[in-house]
Amino acid sequence: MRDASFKTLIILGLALVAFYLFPIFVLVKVASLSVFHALREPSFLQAIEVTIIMATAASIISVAFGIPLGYFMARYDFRGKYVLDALLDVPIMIPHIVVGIMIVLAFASSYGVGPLLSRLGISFIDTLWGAVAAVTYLSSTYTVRTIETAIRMINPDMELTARTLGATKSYVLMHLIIPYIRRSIANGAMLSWSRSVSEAGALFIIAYYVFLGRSTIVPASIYIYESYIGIGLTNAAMYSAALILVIFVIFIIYKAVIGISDVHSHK
Amino acid sequence: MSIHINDLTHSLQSFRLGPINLAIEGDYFVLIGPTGSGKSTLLRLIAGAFFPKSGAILIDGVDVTRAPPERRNLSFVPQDYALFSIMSVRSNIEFGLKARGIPRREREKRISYITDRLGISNLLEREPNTLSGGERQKVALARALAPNPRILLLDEPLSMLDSNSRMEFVELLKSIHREYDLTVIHVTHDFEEAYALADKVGVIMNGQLRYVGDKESLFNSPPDIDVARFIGYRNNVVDGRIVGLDGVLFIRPEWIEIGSSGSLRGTVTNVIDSLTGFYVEVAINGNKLVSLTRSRPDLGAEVGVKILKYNVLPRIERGRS
Repeated sequence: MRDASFKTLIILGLALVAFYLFPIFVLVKVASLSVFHALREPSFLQAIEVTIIMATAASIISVAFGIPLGYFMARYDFRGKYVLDALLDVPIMIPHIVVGIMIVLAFASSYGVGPLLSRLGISFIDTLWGAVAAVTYLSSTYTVRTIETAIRMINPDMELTARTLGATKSYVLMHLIIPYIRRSIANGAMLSWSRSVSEAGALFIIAYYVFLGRSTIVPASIYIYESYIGIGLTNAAMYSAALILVIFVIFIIYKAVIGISDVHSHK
Repeated sequence: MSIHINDLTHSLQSFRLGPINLAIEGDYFVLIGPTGSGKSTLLRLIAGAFFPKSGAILIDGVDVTRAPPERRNLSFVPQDYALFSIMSVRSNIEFGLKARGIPRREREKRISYITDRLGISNLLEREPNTLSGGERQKVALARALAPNPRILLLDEPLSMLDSNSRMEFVELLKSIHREYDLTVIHVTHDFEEAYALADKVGVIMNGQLRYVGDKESLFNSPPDIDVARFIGYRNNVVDGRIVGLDGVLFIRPEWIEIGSSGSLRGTVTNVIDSLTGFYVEVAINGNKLVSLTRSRPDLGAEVGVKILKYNVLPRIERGRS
Protein backbone atom coordinates (compact mmCIF):
# COMPACT_ATOMS: atom_id res chain seq x y z
CA MET A 1 0.00 0.00 0.00
CA ARG A 2 1.39 3.40 -0.92
CA ASP A 3 1.84 5.93 1.91
CA ALA A 4 -0.62 8.39 0.33
CA SER A 5 -3.35 5.76 0.27
CA PHE A 6 -2.59 4.82 3.86
CA LYS A 7 -2.79 8.47 4.94
CA THR A 8 -6.19 8.73 3.23
CA LEU A 9 -7.40 5.72 5.23
CA ILE A 10 -6.20 7.27 8.48
CA ILE A 11 -7.96 10.54 7.61
CA LEU A 12 -11.19 8.64 6.92
CA GLY A 13 -10.92 6.95 10.33
CA LEU A 14 -10.22 10.22 12.09
CA ALA A 15 -13.15 11.84 10.29
CA LEU A 16 -15.44 9.29 11.94
CA VAL A 17 -13.93 10.07 15.34
CA ALA A 18 -14.53 13.76 14.67
CA PHE A 19 -18.11 12.95 13.68
CA TYR A 20 -18.56 11.24 17.08
CA LEU A 21 -16.99 14.05 19.08
CA PHE A 22 -18.31 17.18 17.36
CA PRO A 23 -21.97 16.87 18.54
CA ILE A 24 -20.75 16.14 22.09
CA PHE A 25 -18.52 19.19 21.96
CA VAL A 26 -21.41 21.42 20.79
CA LEU A 27 -23.75 19.92 23.41
CA VAL A 28 -21.26 20.61 26.21
CA LYS A 29 -20.68 24.13 24.90
CA VAL A 30 -24.42 24.91 24.74
CA ALA A 31 -25.21 23.32 28.10
CA SER A 32 -22.11 24.67 29.83
CA LEU A 33 -22.56 25.21 33.57
CA SER A 34 -26.34 24.76 33.36
CA VAL A 35 -25.55 21.04 33.69
CA PHE A 36 -25.22 21.58 37.42
CA HIS A 37 -28.58 23.31 37.49
CA ALA A 38 -30.10 20.19 35.85
CA LEU A 39 -28.43 17.96 38.43
CA ARG A 40 -30.15 19.93 41.21
CA GLU A 41 -33.58 19.44 39.61
CA PRO A 42 -35.43 16.81 41.75
CA SER A 43 -37.68 15.56 38.94
CA PHE A 44 -34.64 15.03 36.67
CA LEU A 45 -32.74 13.23 39.44
CA GLN A 46 -35.76 10.95 39.87
CA ALA A 47 -35.74 10.33 36.12
CA ILE A 48 -32.06 9.37 36.29
CA GLU A 49 -32.73 7.18 39.33
CA VAL A 50 -35.50 5.21 37.62
CA THR A 51 -33.38 4.91 34.46
CA ILE A 52 -30.41 3.53 36.41
CA ILE A 53 -32.64 1.06 38.29
CA MET A 54 -34.21 -0.08 35.03
CA ALA A 55 -30.87 -0.42 33.20
CA THR A 56 -29.18 -2.18 36.12
CA ALA A 57 -32.03 -4.67 36.44
CA ALA A 58 -31.85 -5.36 32.68
CA SER A 59 -28.10 -5.79 32.94
CA ILE A 60 -28.33 -8.28 35.82
CA ILE A 61 -31.02 -10.27 34.01
CA SER A 62 -28.94 -10.27 30.81
CA VAL A 63 -25.93 -11.71 32.65
CA ALA A 64 -27.90 -14.28 34.65
CA PHE A 65 -29.58 -15.68 31.55
CA GLY A 66 -26.83 -14.75 29.12
CA ILE A 67 -24.10 -16.91 30.67
CA PRO A 68 -25.93 -20.22 30.19
CA LEU A 69 -27.18 -19.19 26.74
CA GLY A 70 -23.75 -17.92 25.67
CA TYR A 71 -22.14 -21.14 26.89
CA PHE A 72 -24.70 -23.24 25.05
CA MET A 73 -24.19 -21.32 21.80
CA ALA A 74 -20.40 -21.48 22.11
CA ARG A 75 -20.08 -25.15 23.00
CA TYR A 76 -22.91 -27.10 21.40
CA ASP A 77 -23.58 -27.92 17.79
CA PHE A 78 -26.95 -29.22 16.77
CA ARG A 79 -29.18 -29.42 13.76
CA GLY A 80 -30.72 -26.04 12.98
CA LYS A 81 -28.35 -24.12 15.29
CA TYR A 82 -28.14 -21.35 12.71
CA VAL A 83 -31.87 -20.68 13.18
CA LEU A 84 -31.40 -20.11 16.92
CA ASP A 85 -28.28 -18.10 16.15
CA ALA A 86 -30.29 -15.80 13.86
CA LEU A 87 -33.13 -15.56 16.38
CA LEU A 88 -30.75 -14.20 19.01
CA ASP A 89 -30.09 -11.19 16.81
CA VAL A 90 -33.77 -10.50 16.12
CA PRO A 91 -34.24 -8.16 19.15
CA ILE A 92 -31.61 -5.74 17.84
CA MET A 93 -33.12 -5.71 14.35
CA ILE A 94 -36.72 -4.90 15.29
CA PRO A 95 -37.61 -1.19 15.51
CA HIS A 96 -37.83 -0.19 19.15
CA ILE A 97 -41.36 1.15 18.92
CA VAL A 98 -42.40 -2.26 17.58
CA VAL A 99 -40.68 -3.95 20.53
CA GLY A 100 -42.78 -1.76 22.82
CA ILE A 101 -45.95 -2.86 21.00
CA MET A 102 -44.86 -6.51 21.21
CA ILE A 103 -44.18 -6.30 24.95
CA VAL A 104 -47.62 -4.75 25.50
CA LEU A 105 -49.26 -7.48 23.41
CA ALA A 106 -47.33 -10.30 25.05
CA PHE A 107 -47.43 -9.23 28.70
CA ALA A 108 -50.18 -6.66 29.08
CA SER A 109 -53.04 -7.70 26.83
CA SER A 110 -55.46 -10.55 26.51
CA TYR A 111 -53.55 -11.66 23.37
CA GLY A 112 -50.67 -12.78 25.59
CA VAL A 113 -50.22 -13.53 29.27
CA GLY A 114 -51.61 -10.17 30.46
CA PRO A 115 -54.64 -11.64 32.29
CA LEU A 116 -52.47 -14.26 34.00
CA LEU A 117 -49.97 -11.64 35.20
CA SER A 118 -52.83 -9.41 36.26
CA ARG A 119 -54.17 -12.18 38.53
CA LEU A 120 -50.68 -12.33 40.08
CA GLY A 121 -50.83 -8.59 40.67
CA ILE A 122 -48.22 -7.79 38.03
CA SER A 123 -48.82 -5.03 35.52
CA PHE A 124 -46.46 -4.18 32.66
CA ILE A 125 -48.02 -0.88 31.67
CA ASP A 126 -46.21 2.14 33.12
CA THR A 127 -44.32 0.08 35.67
CA LEU A 128 -40.72 -0.98 36.20
CA TRP A 129 -41.80 -4.48 35.12
CA GLY A 130 -42.68 -3.22 31.66
CA ALA A 131 -39.71 -0.86 31.40
CA VAL A 132 -37.24 -3.58 32.43
CA ALA A 133 -38.87 -6.13 30.10
CA ALA A 134 -38.59 -3.73 27.15
CA VAL A 135 -34.97 -2.75 27.70
CA THR A 136 -33.92 -6.33 28.53
CA TYR A 137 -35.51 -7.46 25.25
CA LEU A 138 -33.54 -4.83 23.37
CA SER A 139 -30.20 -5.06 25.13
CA SER A 140 -29.55 -8.63 26.33
CA THR A 141 -28.35 -9.82 22.90
CA TYR A 142 -25.21 -7.71 23.39
CA THR A 143 -24.44 -9.49 26.65
CA VAL A 144 -25.11 -12.94 25.19
CA ARG A 145 -22.90 -12.31 22.18
CA THR A 146 -20.06 -10.88 24.27
CA ILE A 147 -20.13 -13.89 26.59
CA GLU A 148 -20.46 -16.37 23.71
CA THR A 149 -17.43 -14.87 21.96
CA ALA A 150 -15.37 -14.98 25.16
CA ILE A 151 -16.22 -18.66 25.75
CA ARG A 152 -15.31 -19.53 22.16
CA MET A 153 -11.84 -18.15 22.88
CA ILE A 154 -11.30 -20.73 25.64
CA ASN A 155 -9.62 -23.90 24.42
CA PRO A 156 -12.13 -26.78 24.83
CA ASP A 157 -9.19 -28.95 25.92
CA MET A 158 -9.00 -26.90 29.10
CA GLU A 159 -12.57 -27.87 29.94
CA LEU A 160 -11.91 -31.50 29.08
CA THR A 161 -8.82 -31.47 31.30
CA ALA A 162 -10.83 -30.02 34.18
CA ARG A 163 -13.59 -32.60 33.66
CA THR A 164 -11.15 -35.52 33.76
CA LEU A 165 -9.75 -34.11 37.01
CA GLY A 166 -13.18 -34.79 38.50
CA ALA A 167 -15.14 -31.58 37.89
CA THR A 168 -18.71 -31.72 36.66
CA LYS A 169 -19.90 -29.48 33.83
CA SER A 170 -21.50 -27.01 36.23
CA TYR A 171 -18.40 -26.98 38.47
CA VAL A 172 -16.26 -26.17 35.43
CA LEU A 173 -18.65 -23.40 34.41
CA MET A 174 -18.74 -21.84 37.88
CA HIS A 175 -15.11 -22.29 38.91
CA LEU A 176 -13.25 -22.06 35.63
CA ILE A 177 -15.22 -20.57 32.74
CA ILE A 178 -16.87 -17.71 34.62
CA PRO A 179 -13.64 -16.62 36.34
CA TYR A 180 -11.90 -16.77 32.95
CA ILE A 181 -14.46 -14.58 31.20
CA ARG A 182 -15.30 -12.27 34.12
CA ARG A 183 -14.04 -9.24 32.22
CA SER A 184 -16.16 -10.11 29.18
CA ILE A 185 -19.16 -10.62 31.46
CA ALA A 186 -18.58 -7.16 32.91
CA ASN A 187 -18.21 -5.69 29.41
CA GLY A 188 -21.38 -7.44 28.25
CA ALA A 189 -23.24 -6.17 31.29
CA MET A 190 -21.98 -2.64 30.66
CA LEU A 191 -23.04 -2.82 27.00
CA SER A 192 -26.49 -3.95 28.03
CA TRP A 193 -26.63 -1.22 30.69
CA SER A 194 -25.58 1.53 28.29
CA ARG A 195 -28.06 0.36 25.69
CA SER A 196 -30.86 0.33 28.28
CA VAL A 197 -30.07 3.81 29.59
CA SER A 198 -30.40 5.26 26.10
CA GLU A 199 -33.68 3.52 25.28
CA ALA A 200 -36.68 5.69 24.43
CA GLY A 201 -38.68 4.11 21.57
CA ALA A 202 -40.01 1.06 23.39
CA LEU A 203 -40.59 3.07 26.58
CA PHE A 204 -42.84 5.49 24.69
CA ILE A 205 -45.24 2.57 24.27
CA ILE A 206 -44.97 0.58 27.48
CA ALA A 207 -43.59 2.87 30.18
CA TYR A 208 -43.87 6.53 29.23
CA TYR A 209 -44.36 7.11 32.94
CA VAL A 210 -43.18 4.72 35.61
CA PHE A 211 -45.23 4.47 38.78
CA LEU A 212 -42.69 4.04 41.55
CA GLY A 213 -44.13 4.15 45.05
CA ARG A 214 -46.38 7.20 45.06
CA SER A 215 -44.43 9.00 42.36
CA THR A 216 -44.92 9.12 38.65
CA ILE A 217 -41.53 9.35 37.03
CA VAL A 218 -40.51 9.49 33.39
CA PRO A 219 -37.31 7.72 32.31
CA ALA A 220 -34.43 10.10 31.53
CA SER A 221 -34.59 9.82 27.74
CA ILE A 222 -38.31 10.60 27.75
CA TYR A 223 -37.68 13.45 30.21
CA ILE A 224 -35.27 14.97 27.69
CA TYR A 225 -37.72 14.42 24.84
CA GLU A 226 -40.45 16.22 26.82
CA SER A 227 -38.06 19.04 27.59
CA TYR A 228 -37.26 19.40 23.88
CA ILE A 229 -40.90 19.32 22.80
CA GLY A 230 -42.23 21.42 25.68
CA ILE A 231 -39.52 24.04 26.28
CA GLY A 232 -36.91 23.95 23.57
CA LEU A 233 -33.52 22.88 22.30
CA THR A 234 -31.25 24.58 24.88
CA ASN A 235 -33.30 23.22 27.77
CA ALA A 236 -33.06 19.70 26.29
CA ALA A 237 -29.30 20.26 25.80
CA MET A 238 -28.91 21.02 29.51
CA TYR A 239 -30.54 17.72 30.55
CA SER A 240 -28.79 15.78 27.78
CA ALA A 241 -25.37 17.01 28.93
CA ALA A 242 -26.29 16.18 32.52
CA LEU A 243 -27.29 12.64 31.53
CA ILE A 244 -24.06 12.17 29.58
CA LEU A 245 -22.08 13.41 32.60
CA VAL A 246 -23.80 10.89 34.88
CA ILE A 247 -23.19 8.04 32.40
CA PHE A 248 -19.58 9.13 32.01
CA VAL A 249 -18.99 9.11 35.77
CA ILE A 250 -20.56 5.65 36.09
CA PHE A 251 -18.42 4.43 33.19
CA ILE A 252 -15.26 5.75 34.89
CA ILE A 253 -16.25 4.01 38.14
CA TYR A 254 -16.86 0.77 36.18
CA LYS A 255 -13.44 1.01 34.53
CA ALA A 256 -11.78 1.67 37.89
CA VAL A 257 -13.53 -1.29 39.53
CA ILE A 258 -12.61 -3.61 36.65
CA GLY A 259 -9.02 -2.35 36.74
CA ILE A 260 -8.74 -2.91 40.50
CA SER A 261 -10.26 -6.41 40.28
CA ASP A 262 -7.80 -7.28 37.49
CA VAL A 263 -4.87 -6.17 39.63
CA HIS A 264 -6.15 -8.23 42.57
CA SER A 265 -6.78 -11.32 40.47
CA HIS A 266 -3.17 -11.29 39.26
CA LYS A 267 -1.67 -10.99 42.74
CA MET B 1 -6.37 -51.14 35.07
CA SER B 2 -7.50 -52.31 31.65
CA ILE B 3 -8.99 -50.45 28.71
CA HIS B 4 -10.92 -52.35 26.07
CA ILE B 5 -12.15 -50.64 22.95
CA ASN B 6 -14.60 -52.62 20.88
CA ASP B 7 -15.67 -51.76 17.33
CA LEU B 8 -15.41 -48.05 18.07
CA THR B 9 -16.36 -45.69 15.25
CA HIS B 10 -16.69 -41.95 15.08
CA SER B 11 -16.94 -39.29 12.41
CA LEU B 12 -15.98 -35.64 12.45
CA GLN B 13 -17.10 -33.87 9.26
CA SER B 14 -15.50 -35.89 6.46
CA PHE B 15 -13.07 -37.79 8.74
CA ARG B 16 -13.99 -41.35 9.73
CA LEU B 17 -12.39 -43.11 12.67
CA GLY B 18 -12.51 -46.86 13.10
CA PRO B 19 -13.75 -49.39 13.62
CA ILE B 20 -11.13 -49.55 16.36
CA ASN B 21 -10.50 -52.65 18.47
CA LEU B 22 -7.85 -52.35 21.15
CA ALA B 23 -6.97 -53.87 24.52
CA ILE B 24 -4.51 -52.21 26.90
CA GLU B 25 -3.69 -53.93 30.19
CA GLY B 26 -1.67 -51.70 32.50
CA ASP B 27 0.86 -50.94 29.79
CA TYR B 28 2.60 -47.79 28.73
CA PHE B 29 0.87 -47.70 25.37
CA VAL B 30 2.16 -45.29 22.74
CA LEU B 31 -0.13 -44.46 19.85
CA ILE B 32 1.71 -43.06 16.86
CA GLY B 33 0.37 -41.76 13.62
CA PRO B 34 0.79 -38.91 11.17
CA THR B 35 -1.03 -35.59 11.57
CA GLY B 36 -4.76 -36.02 10.97
CA SER B 37 -4.66 -39.79 11.40
CA GLY B 38 -7.19 -39.77 14.25
CA LYS B 39 -4.88 -40.44 17.21
CA SER B 40 -5.96 -37.36 19.15
CA THR B 41 -9.62 -38.04 18.31
CA LEU B 42 -9.27 -41.57 19.72
CA LEU B 43 -7.64 -40.16 22.87
CA ARG B 44 -10.47 -37.66 23.33
CA LEU B 45 -13.07 -40.39 22.84
CA ILE B 46 -11.40 -42.35 25.64
CA ALA B 47 -11.32 -39.18 27.77
CA GLY B 48 -15.03 -38.62 27.15
CA ALA B 49 -14.80 -35.32 25.26
CA PHE B 50 -17.50 -36.68 22.97
CA PHE B 51 -19.35 -39.91 22.48
CA PRO B 52 -18.61 -42.34 19.64
CA LYS B 53 -21.01 -43.08 16.82
CA SER B 54 -20.91 -46.76 17.70
CA GLY B 55 -18.89 -49.28 19.67
CA ALA B 56 -17.89 -49.45 23.31
CA ILE B 57 -15.15 -48.30 25.68
CA LEU B 58 -14.67 -50.44 28.78
CA ILE B 59 -12.45 -49.45 31.68
CA ASP B 60 -11.80 -52.37 34.04
CA GLY B 61 -14.78 -54.14 32.49
CA VAL B 62 -17.17 -51.23 33.12
CA ASP B 63 -18.81 -49.73 30.04
CA VAL B 64 -17.98 -45.99 30.14
CA THR B 65 -18.87 -45.28 26.52
CA ARG B 66 -21.52 -42.72 27.53
CA ALA B 67 -20.08 -41.78 30.92
CA PRO B 68 -18.96 -38.18 31.48
CA PRO B 69 -15.18 -37.58 31.75
CA GLU B 70 -15.33 -37.08 35.53
CA ARG B 71 -16.64 -40.63 36.00
CA ARG B 72 -13.87 -42.41 34.09
CA ASN B 73 -11.11 -42.21 36.73
CA LEU B 74 -8.58 -40.93 34.25
CA SER B 75 -6.60 -37.74 33.75
CA PHE B 76 -5.95 -36.04 30.45
CA VAL B 77 -2.95 -33.83 29.66
CA PRO B 78 -3.35 -31.97 26.35
CA GLN B 79 -0.49 -30.93 24.09
CA ASP B 80 -0.43 -27.33 25.36
CA TYR B 81 -0.95 -28.53 28.97
CA ALA B 82 -4.05 -26.29 29.37
CA LEU B 83 -2.85 -24.89 32.67
CA PHE B 84 -5.44 -22.60 34.24
CA SER B 85 -3.72 -19.26 33.77
CA ILE B 86 -6.06 -17.43 36.15
CA MET B 87 -4.86 -19.54 39.09
CA SER B 88 -1.58 -20.16 40.88
CA VAL B 89 0.27 -23.45 40.42
CA ARG B 90 -1.08 -24.58 43.82
CA SER B 91 -4.68 -23.88 42.77
CA ASN B 92 -4.10 -25.69 39.47
CA ILE B 93 -2.97 -28.84 41.27
CA GLU B 94 -5.70 -28.46 43.88
CA PHE B 95 -8.48 -27.98 41.30
CA GLY B 96 -9.36 -31.64 40.80
CA LEU B 97 -9.09 -32.38 44.51
CA LYS B 98 -11.50 -29.57 45.37
CA ALA B 99 -13.89 -30.65 42.62
CA ARG B 100 -13.93 -34.13 44.16
CA GLY B 101 -14.69 -32.71 47.60
CA ILE B 102 -11.45 -33.93 49.17
CA PRO B 103 -10.90 -32.31 52.62
CA ARG B 104 -8.33 -29.56 52.93
CA ARG B 105 -5.82 -31.52 55.04
CA GLU B 106 -5.77 -34.38 52.53
CA ARG B 107 -5.45 -31.89 49.67
CA GLU B 108 -2.43 -30.28 51.29
CA LYS B 109 -0.85 -33.70 51.84
CA ARG B 110 -1.30 -34.76 48.24
CA ILE B 111 -0.06 -31.44 46.83
CA SER B 112 3.00 -31.61 49.06
CA TYR B 113 3.76 -35.22 48.02
CA ILE B 114 3.37 -34.78 44.29
CA THR B 115 5.21 -31.45 44.11
CA ASP B 116 8.09 -32.90 46.13
CA ARG B 117 8.14 -35.93 43.86
CA LEU B 118 8.31 -33.80 40.72
CA GLY B 119 10.60 -31.19 42.23
CA ILE B 120 8.24 -28.24 41.80
CA SER B 121 7.52 -27.32 45.44
CA ASN B 122 9.19 -23.97 44.85
CA LEU B 123 6.69 -23.10 42.10
CA LEU B 124 3.48 -23.41 44.13
CA GLU B 125 2.73 -19.71 44.42
CA ARG B 126 3.81 -18.84 40.87
CA GLU B 127 1.44 -18.10 37.99
CA PRO B 128 1.54 -20.56 35.07
CA ASN B 129 2.42 -17.80 32.60
CA THR B 130 5.72 -17.21 34.39
CA LEU B 131 6.91 -20.84 34.08
CA SER B 132 9.28 -22.40 31.55
CA GLY B 133 8.10 -25.16 29.20
CA GLY B 134 9.54 -27.90 31.40
CA GLU B 135 8.04 -26.43 34.56
CA ARG B 136 4.65 -26.12 32.90
CA GLN B 137 4.84 -29.75 31.85
CA LYS B 138 5.63 -30.82 35.41
CA VAL B 139 2.77 -28.75 36.82
CA ALA B 140 0.38 -30.30 34.27
CA LEU B 141 1.61 -33.75 35.28
CA ALA B 142 1.26 -32.95 39.00
CA ARG B 143 -2.27 -31.68 38.43
CA ALA B 144 -3.16 -34.82 36.48
CA LEU B 145 -1.68 -37.16 39.12
CA ALA B 146 -3.02 -35.41 42.24
CA PRO B 147 -6.50 -37.03 42.09
CA ASN B 148 -4.84 -40.50 41.86
CA PRO B 149 -6.20 -41.53 38.47
CA ARG B 150 -5.71 -45.08 37.25
CA ILE B 151 -5.26 -44.02 33.62
CA LEU B 152 -3.18 -41.18 32.23
CA LEU B 153 -3.91 -39.85 28.74
CA LEU B 154 -1.07 -37.80 27.26
CA ASP B 155 -1.50 -35.92 24.00
CA GLU B 156 1.94 -35.21 22.48
CA PRO B 157 3.29 -34.34 25.94
CA LEU B 158 6.90 -33.77 24.87
CA SER B 159 6.29 -31.83 21.67
CA MET B 160 6.70 -28.41 23.28
CA LEU B 161 9.96 -29.20 25.10
CA ASP B 162 13.57 -28.71 24.07
CA SER B 163 15.66 -31.85 23.50
CA ASN B 164 17.28 -31.88 26.99
CA SER B 165 13.94 -31.52 28.73
CA ARG B 166 12.52 -34.25 26.49
CA MET B 167 15.11 -36.75 27.70
CA GLU B 168 14.45 -35.76 31.31
CA PHE B 169 10.74 -36.25 30.79
CA VAL B 170 11.12 -39.62 29.14
CA GLU B 171 12.80 -40.81 32.34
CA LEU B 172 10.19 -39.08 34.50
CA LEU B 173 7.23 -40.54 32.60
CA LYS B 174 8.72 -44.02 32.81
CA SER B 175 9.21 -43.80 36.56
CA ILE B 176 5.77 -42.23 37.12
CA HIS B 177 4.19 -45.10 35.16
CA ARG B 178 5.89 -47.66 37.42
CA GLU B 179 5.47 -45.82 40.69
CA TYR B 180 1.78 -44.99 40.26
CA ASP B 181 0.95 -48.31 38.61
CA LEU B 182 -0.76 -46.40 35.85
CA THR B 183 -2.08 -47.38 32.49
CA VAL B 184 -0.74 -44.71 30.14
CA ILE B 185 -1.89 -43.88 26.63
CA HIS B 186 0.62 -41.54 25.07
CA VAL B 187 -0.06 -40.04 21.66
CA THR B 188 2.82 -38.85 19.53
CA HIS B 189 4.16 -38.73 16.00
CA ASP B 190 7.76 -39.12 17.18
CA PHE B 191 9.16 -42.63 16.70
CA GLU B 192 12.12 -42.13 19.01
CA GLU B 193 9.79 -41.00 21.78
CA ALA B 194 7.58 -44.02 21.11
CA TYR B 195 10.53 -46.38 21.08
CA ALA B 196 11.96 -44.97 24.31
CA LEU B 197 8.74 -45.19 26.30
CA ALA B 198 6.43 -47.86 24.96
CA ASP B 199 5.66 -51.27 26.38
CA LYS B 200 3.28 -51.60 23.50
CA VAL B 201 2.82 -49.52 20.35
CA GLY B 202 -0.15 -48.79 18.14
CA VAL B 203 0.04 -47.22 14.69
CA ILE B 204 -3.00 -45.34 13.44
CA MET B 205 -3.34 -44.11 9.87
CA ASN B 206 -6.37 -42.66 8.14
CA GLY B 207 -8.53 -43.48 11.14
CA GLN B 208 -7.55 -47.17 11.16
CA LEU B 209 -5.34 -48.99 13.66
CA ARG B 210 -2.75 -50.56 11.37
CA TYR B 211 -0.56 -52.14 13.99
CA VAL B 212 -0.76 -53.02 17.69
CA GLY B 213 2.07 -54.91 19.29
CA ASP B 214 5.59 -54.71 20.63
CA LYS B 215 7.90 -51.99 19.44
CA GLU B 216 10.71 -54.28 18.31
CA SER B 217 8.47 -56.00 15.78
CA LEU B 218 7.14 -52.68 14.53
CA PHE B 219 10.52 -51.08 13.96
CA ASN B 220 12.17 -54.23 12.55
CA SER B 221 9.33 -55.83 10.68
CA PRO B 222 6.50 -53.40 9.98
CA PRO B 223 3.20 -54.96 8.96
CA ASP B 224 2.77 -53.21 5.62
CA ILE B 225 4.25 -50.70 3.22
CA ASP B 226 2.35 -47.66 4.56
CA VAL B 227 3.45 -48.30 8.12
CA ALA B 228 7.00 -49.03 6.96
CA ARG B 229 7.10 -45.70 5.15
CA PHE B 230 5.60 -43.88 8.13
CA ILE B 231 7.93 -45.14 10.84
CA GLY B 232 10.97 -43.41 9.41
CA TYR B 233 11.78 -41.72 6.15
CA ARG B 234 15.31 -43.07 6.30
CA ASN B 235 14.05 -46.64 6.36
CA ASN B 236 14.23 -48.32 2.98
CA VAL B 237 11.07 -49.62 1.38
CA VAL B 238 12.29 -50.93 -1.97
CA ASP B 239 11.43 -53.30 -4.78
CA GLY B 240 12.71 -56.81 -3.94
CA ARG B 241 14.08 -57.27 -7.45
CA ILE B 242 17.09 -55.24 -6.32
CA VAL B 243 18.27 -58.45 -4.65
CA GLY B 244 16.47 -60.79 -7.04
CA LEU B 245 13.38 -61.34 -4.88
CA ASP B 246 9.69 -60.95 -5.61
CA GLY B 247 8.02 -58.50 -3.19
CA VAL B 248 8.73 -55.30 -1.34
CA LEU B 249 11.64 -55.17 1.10
CA PHE B 250 11.95 -53.27 4.36
CA ILE B 251 15.57 -52.53 5.21
CA ARG B 252 16.73 -50.38 8.12
CA PRO B 253 19.71 -48.09 7.32
CA GLU B 254 21.94 -49.96 9.79
CA TRP B 255 21.29 -53.21 7.90
CA ILE B 256 23.15 -51.86 4.87
CA GLU B 257 26.96 -51.79 4.67
CA ILE B 258 28.86 -49.59 2.27
CA GLY B 259 32.43 -50.27 1.24
CA SER B 260 34.60 -51.36 -1.61
CA SER B 261 33.08 -54.83 -1.72
CA GLY B 262 29.44 -55.88 -1.98
CA SER B 263 27.16 -57.66 -4.40
CA LEU B 264 25.56 -54.37 -5.50
CA ARG B 265 27.25 -51.30 -6.93
CA GLY B 266 25.87 -47.78 -6.60
CA THR B 267 26.66 -44.07 -6.57
CA VAL B 268 26.60 -41.88 -3.45
CA THR B 269 24.04 -39.13 -4.11
CA ASN B 270 23.68 -37.54 -0.67
CA VAL B 271 25.27 -37.66 2.79
CA ILE B 272 23.54 -36.37 5.94
CA ASP B 273 25.47 -35.96 9.20
CA SER B 274 23.94 -37.25 12.40
CA LEU B 275 25.12 -37.85 15.96
CA THR B 276 25.14 -41.61 15.36
CA GLY B 277 27.02 -41.53 12.03
CA PHE B 278 26.30 -40.62 8.42
CA TYR B 279 23.13 -41.35 6.51
CA VAL B 280 24.38 -42.12 3.02
CA GLU B 281 22.00 -42.19 0.07
CA VAL B 282 23.12 -44.55 -2.69
CA ALA B 283 21.49 -44.84 -6.12
CA ILE B 284 21.37 -48.37 -7.53
CA ASN B 285 19.70 -48.94 -10.89
CA GLY B 286 17.01 -46.32 -10.28
CA ASN B 287 16.45 -47.36 -6.63
CA LYS B 288 17.68 -45.35 -3.70
CA LEU B 289 18.95 -46.98 -0.52
CA VAL B 290 19.91 -45.17 2.69
CA SER B 291 22.70 -46.65 4.79
CA LEU B 292 23.96 -45.63 8.23
CA THR B 293 27.75 -45.59 8.17
CA ARG B 294 30.59 -44.58 10.48
CA SER B 295 32.77 -43.00 7.78
CA ARG B 296 31.81 -40.25 5.36
CA PRO B 297 32.05 -41.26 1.68
CA ASP B 298 32.55 -38.67 -1.06
CA LEU B 299 29.56 -37.48 -3.03
CA GLY B 300 29.46 -39.20 -6.43
CA ALA B 301 31.74 -42.02 -5.28
CA GLU B 302 31.15 -45.50 -6.70
CA VAL B 303 30.61 -47.86 -3.73
CA GLY B 304 29.82 -51.48 -3.05
CA VAL B 305 26.60 -52.13 -1.15
CA LYS B 306 25.97 -55.15 1.08
CA ILE B 307 22.47 -55.78 2.47
CA LEU B 308 22.93 -57.63 5.78
CA LYS B 309 19.27 -58.13 6.60
CA TYR B 310 15.82 -57.40 5.19
CA ASN B 311 12.16 -58.20 5.78
CA VAL B 312 9.69 -58.85 2.99
CA LEU B 313 6.54 -56.74 3.32
CA PRO B 314 3.08 -57.86 2.27
CA ARG B 315 2.09 -56.49 -1.14
CA ILE B 316 -1.18 -54.94 0.07
CA GLU B 317 -0.94 -51.14 0.05
CA ARG B 318 -3.96 -49.49 1.63
CA GLY B 319 -3.21 -46.01 0.41
CA ARG B 320 -0.75 -43.49 1.74
CA SER B 321 -1.76 -41.15 4.50
